[in-house]
Amino acid sequence: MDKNINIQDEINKTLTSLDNIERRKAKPFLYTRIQAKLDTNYKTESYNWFFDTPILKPALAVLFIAINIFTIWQISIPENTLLSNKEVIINSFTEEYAFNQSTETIFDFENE
Amino acid sequence: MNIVNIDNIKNGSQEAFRLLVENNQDKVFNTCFGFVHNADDADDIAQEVFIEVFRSISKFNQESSLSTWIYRIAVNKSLDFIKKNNRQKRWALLTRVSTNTSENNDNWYAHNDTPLQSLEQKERIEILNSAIDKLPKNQKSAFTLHKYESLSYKEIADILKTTVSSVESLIHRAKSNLKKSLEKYYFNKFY
Repeated sequence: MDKNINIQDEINKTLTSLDNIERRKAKPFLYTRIQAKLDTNYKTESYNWFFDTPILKPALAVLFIAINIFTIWQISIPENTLLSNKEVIINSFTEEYAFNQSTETIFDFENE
Repeated sequence: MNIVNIDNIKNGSQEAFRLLVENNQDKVFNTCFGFVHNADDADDIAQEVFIEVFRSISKFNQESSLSTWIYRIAVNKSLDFIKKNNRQKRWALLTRVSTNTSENNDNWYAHNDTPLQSLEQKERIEILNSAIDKLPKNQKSAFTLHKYESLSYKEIADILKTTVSSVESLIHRAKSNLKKSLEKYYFNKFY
């Protein structure tokens, strides 16, 4: 019984605990901090606005595609060149060591 | 208190905006503090509130008073902050990242004479605040505005865009839920 009374008493005291508190006051220089944040946000916004320019998006897309085509083209050229260089080297190597001669010719040479 | 000219703020007057901040900063801060119970968080939210005011002032059609409109932004920003904070806490729990969850509970003042009474009052406020945190957001908003800002039911109804009878009902249900929550708490404490 006493415990029940105690609990009710505690609940009532706790529920009214906020009645006596003082109003909180804002920290000093709130306006200065807001102003600083606004300045920073506006800088970011102006940067975003630049990329939000309607003409800029298709222009960037075209540029992106052009760079890709150019890169693919650039990659394909050295490969061709390498292939042809390879062939030239193999040919010269074959000629130098007479690999392209048939075995008959070699035997003929030995039989002479 | 100087009168804030809304048209001047709309025209980009920094002086008018400064006046608006200075006239409303304490009530915005106190409202946000009522929701988050932490001075640093309340300060951050108060800044966000005024930035939102600055950005949206052109859309303010003066259907309600400027004060009501600012209160509404403060309530919404505070509730958003709590939602975001809870999400982060859940994520931190999930990823087992240790976070410092200790709240800054020194951020309140009580009118008590002795340190013992002050300590008791502090403990009671902490218990009540954690019970308030468990309330549904509508009840929490109504109860917080009523307790922390001492606003009338009419003012709360304007802020929450509802009727006075709804606010009465919200506060009644909030008190009833708080009682149940506190009963449970003290029952566990005493038995």
